[in-house]
Amino acid sequence: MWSSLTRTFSEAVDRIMTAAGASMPGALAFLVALVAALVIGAALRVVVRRVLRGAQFDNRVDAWGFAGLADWSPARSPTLLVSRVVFWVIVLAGLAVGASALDGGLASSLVASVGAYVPKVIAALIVLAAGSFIARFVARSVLITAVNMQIQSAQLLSLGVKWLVLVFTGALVLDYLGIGRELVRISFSILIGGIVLALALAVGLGSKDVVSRSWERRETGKEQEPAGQPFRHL
Amino acid sequence: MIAPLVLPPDVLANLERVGPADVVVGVPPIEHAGDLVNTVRAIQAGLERHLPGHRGVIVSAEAGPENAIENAVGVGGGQSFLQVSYPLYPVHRLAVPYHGVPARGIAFRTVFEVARRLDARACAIVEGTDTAFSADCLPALLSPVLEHDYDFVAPHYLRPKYDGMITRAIVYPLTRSLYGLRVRQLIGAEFAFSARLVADCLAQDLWSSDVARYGIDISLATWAMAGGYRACQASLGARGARAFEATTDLSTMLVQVVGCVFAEMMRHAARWQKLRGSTDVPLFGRCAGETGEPADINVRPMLDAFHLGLQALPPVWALFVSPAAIVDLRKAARAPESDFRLPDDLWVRVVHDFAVGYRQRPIPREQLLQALTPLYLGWVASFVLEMREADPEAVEQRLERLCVAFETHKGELIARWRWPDRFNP
Repeated sequence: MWSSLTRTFSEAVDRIMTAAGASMPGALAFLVALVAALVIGAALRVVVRRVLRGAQFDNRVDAWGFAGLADWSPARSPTLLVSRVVFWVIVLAGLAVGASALDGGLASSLVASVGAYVPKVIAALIVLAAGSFIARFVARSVLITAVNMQIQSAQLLSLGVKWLVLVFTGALVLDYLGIGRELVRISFSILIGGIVLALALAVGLGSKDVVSRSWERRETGKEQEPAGQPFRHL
Repeated sequence: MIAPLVLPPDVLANLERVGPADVVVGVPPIEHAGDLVNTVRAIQAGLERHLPGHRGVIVSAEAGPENAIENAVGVGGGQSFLQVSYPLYPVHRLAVPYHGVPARGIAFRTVFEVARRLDARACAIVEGTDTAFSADCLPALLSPVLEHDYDFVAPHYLRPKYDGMITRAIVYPLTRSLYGLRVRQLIGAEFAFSARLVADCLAQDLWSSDVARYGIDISLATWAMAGGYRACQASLGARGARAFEATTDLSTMLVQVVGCVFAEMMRHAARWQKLRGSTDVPLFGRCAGETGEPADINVRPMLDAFHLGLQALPPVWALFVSPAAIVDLRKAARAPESDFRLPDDLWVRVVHDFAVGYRQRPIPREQLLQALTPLYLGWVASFVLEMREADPEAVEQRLERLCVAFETHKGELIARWRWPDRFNP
């Protein structure tokens, strides 16, 4: 009885030790890959940051017309953004290598599914960047025009237009990536409705005097003299 | 090398028939045929009365198909009348330029080409207005070229003290400080050019850009001033009742006019950076005219526009206007209405910042120039409040002080222009 029990126990320990021994190299390889990725990523981050700072990348990004990139960057520095992206790409690559060492099948299926998703992510990032650029351009245009038309709610109007475009872009991106499709559509509809209502209120309240003067002119048939400018500018 | 302008065969045949001329007077398109007839008759009378020894050709440059008004004009004696049509493309109809003449640049170029082909010694441009051009003003415009060898004659108008504020606030002081010549009107309805200047302008690529579409007068005047040509002014009396303000939208006007001045500034950067100070240019003729009483201006709407701009636009201005200037603008805005003033130094810095910003393009140029509107209205309000009780002489002295401020700060402008990276708003 006792000998049977000890045999069974020793066989179980043997199996566990064998299994542990078989997976140990993989686990060690995972750890080595992760540590190596962290070290290489950190080193590359420093190198990229120094090179980009030396090349005045932040100023050049502004000059190339991507001033909006700064707003999406840590500490408003596109250099930091790029260096961090490089770091995390290396770390993720290290994780993939490590996972491959642990389980070849899991890693290859992971790589295949990520590989299939990457083009979509890249396209979504491009749409996001374009949306952000368009939002800023349109918001600035609306702000300047509204100020020149002396609409008191110019800032609110500009902010509303900016978020309208950003929300539209965000919904487009999430829908494209296939994330929470129904939820996104419902949320998008609610948000758009809210923003349009806010814009309508802003325009209505901000330009009620302009509209009433315009209607008055139409009713009375009188041509309005430019307010406060009975002189020629040229 | 710019492609030469091709005139239609019938026009070339007419030029052959007309033969050489001493003077060509071009009339760009005028909306109403009646105004055109009056203007051409006034020019004809002026040529016959004041320049009898000179053979003149009056050229009406018409956009699109020709209007057969030759019979109505009835030019005779020693003068000839030609109607030349130039092509008008849809792009010319899309935006209303501040002067209201579609493709005005092509009209000027057509007249210049006719003058060159006729070997004219002088070429004048006269644009009709509600008040037709006075015949007696023609010698003031043409005699400097014919008798005194000047190359460029700019108009000089009698104007009420609040009239022409863009010219007073920006165009005149800035161009005077840049090119060193005290030419008051770069924007006008009447100009004269020598044969040399006409030939040189035709050889340059001045005709195809937005500047030509909107501000060919600014472009040609700047070319003459920056090119070292002999320039003078002609006193032409009061300015026409509705000349040159076809568009009433102020920000559009600023985009077109100030945009043209800044674009020319870029073109002639190598030249103006070498010049310092300014010199007077002679004034010919003395056409009579009444400026009328200055209008009583309510500055409240302009101050409201300025304050709204100061509340909403600093994030936009901060992309190209120095932080110190924005702080000073805020300080100025805190004054009570009657004491509101924009100091000359501050205004000069703001205009220079916009000029450098136009070159650097941190935001699209149209947006940049539109963002100038509230600041310009603030300057106008400040000027009106300061000059309310002033007589014309005091207004002139005030304008002179502003011009001197522009000249004094020119060194800083050059530094900013050459090394914009040193400035980091």
